[in-house]
Formats: sequence, C-alpha cells, structure tokens
Amino acid sequence: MIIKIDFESEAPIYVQLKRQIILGIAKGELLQGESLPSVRQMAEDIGINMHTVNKTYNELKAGGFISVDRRKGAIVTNSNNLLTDEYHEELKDELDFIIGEAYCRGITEEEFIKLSRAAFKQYSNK
Amino acid sequence: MINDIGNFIYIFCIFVIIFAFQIIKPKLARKEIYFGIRIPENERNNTFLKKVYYSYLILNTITFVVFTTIIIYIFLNYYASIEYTLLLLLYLLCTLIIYFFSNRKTFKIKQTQCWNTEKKQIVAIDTKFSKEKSTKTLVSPWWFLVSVFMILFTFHIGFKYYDLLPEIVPTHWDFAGEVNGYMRKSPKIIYAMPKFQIFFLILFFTLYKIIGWGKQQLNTSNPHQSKEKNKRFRYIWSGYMVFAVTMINLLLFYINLIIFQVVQFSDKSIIIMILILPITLIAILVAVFLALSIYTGQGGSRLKIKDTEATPSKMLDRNDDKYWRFGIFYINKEDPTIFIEKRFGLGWTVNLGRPPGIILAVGVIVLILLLPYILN
Repeated sequence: MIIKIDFESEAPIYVQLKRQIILGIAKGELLQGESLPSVRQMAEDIGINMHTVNKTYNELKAGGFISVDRRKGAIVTNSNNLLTDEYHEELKDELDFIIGEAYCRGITEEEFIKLSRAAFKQYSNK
Repeated sequence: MINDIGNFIYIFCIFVIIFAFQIIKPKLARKEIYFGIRIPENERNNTFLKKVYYSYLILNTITFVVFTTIIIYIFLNYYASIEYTLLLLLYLLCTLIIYFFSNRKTFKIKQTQCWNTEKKQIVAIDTKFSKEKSTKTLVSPWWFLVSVFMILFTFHIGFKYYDLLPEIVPTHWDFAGEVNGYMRKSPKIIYAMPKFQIFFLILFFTLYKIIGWGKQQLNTSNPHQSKEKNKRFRYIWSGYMVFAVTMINLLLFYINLIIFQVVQFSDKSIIIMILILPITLIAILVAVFLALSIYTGQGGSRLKIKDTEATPSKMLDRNDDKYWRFGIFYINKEDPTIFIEKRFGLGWTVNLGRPPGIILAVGVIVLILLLPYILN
C-alpha cells in the first residue's frame, strides 16, 4: 500500500503512520499475513528516525494488528482477535468525546450517523 | 608529433563529453527538482526559472570555449601532458561552481515566490517497494558470470602462451602504433590484464548492488506511476552495468591476446587493431550512457509510463532542501538511508549525516588515491 506522511502536520509522525497502517488493513490494502518493511527499512523509506517507526510498530503490536517476527519482520495478523473488552471501553470513551465536540459545534445526530454510515461503507465494500 | 595530436584529441573529446553532459543534466532531473531545489511541478515553466537555465547555458558555454581555447593554444605552442589533466580538473571545478550559482538562484526564486507555504508537505512510500527493489527490480546478477568466465579465459591464455613469449614483451603502444612500453618476461605479465578485469568486475558489481539499495523516492501526486518509472529506471541501469563490465572485460581480454602475441598484425593494420578498436568500444559505452541518460532521466522521470491517477492533488513533496548542502551533499542525521538519489545528474549519492555514509565517502576517496599503487 501507499503510505503518505505529512511533515507539516500537527499530528506526530508515529501517529500518522499508525493510523495509515490501520486504515490500510481496514480498506484491505494490507492483507492478513502480508509483511511490512522492517523498522530500519521503513525509517529509510520515509527518511525518519528508527525510534519513530519502532514506536508505531510497538503500538500496533500492543493493539494486536501486527506481530513482529525476528526473521520475517512485521506481519499483519488475523483481525478476528482484535475485538476486546478493553477496546470497547476505549471506543466508548473516544466516541463520547468526539460526539461531545460535534454536538457543541452543532452537528445533528442524523448528520453524525450519516457520516458514520459512509465511513463504514468504504471499509465493508472492499 | 602524432602522439601530441593523439593526446590533444583525446583530452579534447573528454572536454566535449563533459560539456555535453553538463548541458543535458538540468533536463534529466525529476520534474519536481530544479537545479537541486524542490519546486512545485507546475511551476517548472516559470519565466524566472527559465532565466536561471539560460544563464547556466551561457556560463557553461563561455567556460567551455575559454578552456578549449587554452588547450588549443597549449597544443600549438608546447608539448604538454600533465597540463591537460590539470586543466580538466579545473574545468570540472568550474562546472561545479556554475551549478552551485544556479542552485542558489533557484533557491532565492523559491523564497520570493513563496512556494511551499500553504500546501501540505508529503512523503509517499510504497510498503512493497523496498522488498522488490533490490531483487526483482534489477536484471539477474548471474549475468556477471559472463565476465567471470572471461577473466578465467584470460588467465588461461596467459598460462598457455607464457612459454612462447620473448624475453622482452611489448605491452604499450602509442598513437602512431609504435611500441612505447615493455615488460621483462615474468609471471607478472599473466596477471597484468586479469588484475584490471577483477577490479572492474568488483567495481561494476558494487554499482549494480547500489542501484538495488538506493532509497525509494515517489512523486506524491502520482505514487503508482512514479514507482513503475523508478523500477524501470533501476532495471535499465542495472542492465547497463552488466553491459559495461562485459564490454570492458572483452576489451581487456583482447589486449591480453595482443600482449601474448596470440593475434599478430602487420604494420599497416596495427593502428586499426590497437587504436581504433578500443576507442570505438569506449565510444560506444559513452554513447549508450548518454542515450540512456536522456531516455530514462533521473529516477526514471523521463520514461513514458501510463498515468494511473490524474487527480491533481493539493499535495506537495516534502521540502527537504535543508538537507542538501550546496545542492550536492545530502546530510540528514535522522535518516538511516545510506544511498539516495542525486539532486543533479544521474545516479545515487551517500548520506553524509550518518557514519556508514561518511565511511563510504572517505573510503572511495582513499581508494581512488591508492588505486595506482594497488594495481601496480
């Protein structure tokens, strides 16, 4: 898959990288069992410090998206085990905040649900 | 007299080749690089930028004319050899300075035009490319075996015909076809040509590997197309390395045949066989190099490959000018890359912000200085 990193963005690079890899998995651009470049290779390709990539990979690994094998590098794991109670909690917290902010700014419930549907659609239609 | 003419023609040709390459170099760069400065692709035809190119052309032409006038003057008045080499080095330095001026001018234009301020600065990469680029992208390394066999065959000739050699062996000829270098018969003569062959084999195999190692660099607004271009670019140039090393080995094998007197010529044909043939071979190598440069462009930018997504995005490649000192040296401490595409001209350079890059650069300089001792 193509990853695009914005060096002028306020979002840190390791967050951008993590998000893009997760979205890549969601869109089916990264398939289960596919390997990602090694930490060193990824850092070389983007032209950033290896610690940054390491941080991304560690978080993805902790989240269960990839497993790191010493010989094969990072591999996209089976997404069946990603749904945990922990994640449920986390999602609820984050949604609470996002909806709260949207409400403050005047987004209606219908509008919000419409946006959510459209987002879901692009991932399920892969 | 004829040697003087030969020397002069030889050095004159080198000047012409360098001049020609200097002239086409700006046209070889990627669309988003102008004299080593990153610019928005659609500003390429900006009138200010065009002026930079014209003054670059004029300065280069003036320098070329001045230098060639000097060497013609020297040729007509003195017997010279080392002077030519010094002038050549001086000329190279001048072309570098002209480039540096153009680089600075472009940089100032970029600042006054305020490019790169509103848009995002993106680096695009393909997660699959790094795995493909050093293996599938290049021509098969087994082609280098052709050269290995040629070296073995050269050795074979040496051992087979050594006994038949006279006590004093002619090994060097001048431009008139007269012998001007001899070696006393000794086993050293068997290794004389294979030594060079092995050197060239190692050199070109290393260059071939570097083509595979070079950092991936994609155009943000069209990553898929630029990936395909880059793959083709690496394929073509890895093929050129095989071609070049095979031709050079063939030439050295041929010279070995002459030294061991396996092939012998009459006085009349000797000039053709000893002078014209090697020169033709080298001319072919240079001509193919220039033709391929124009055909591919740096990073494959001039290759014609179908556009996959023609959506003009508001994205701009990352502004990495600050890592390019003098528009020539890449110094980036953060980047673990060792080999990166040059900003001007064709090929790759090293990252001088990291120990491996520094060691490599110093190593190459030391090697060049020691080369005469190693090969003698």
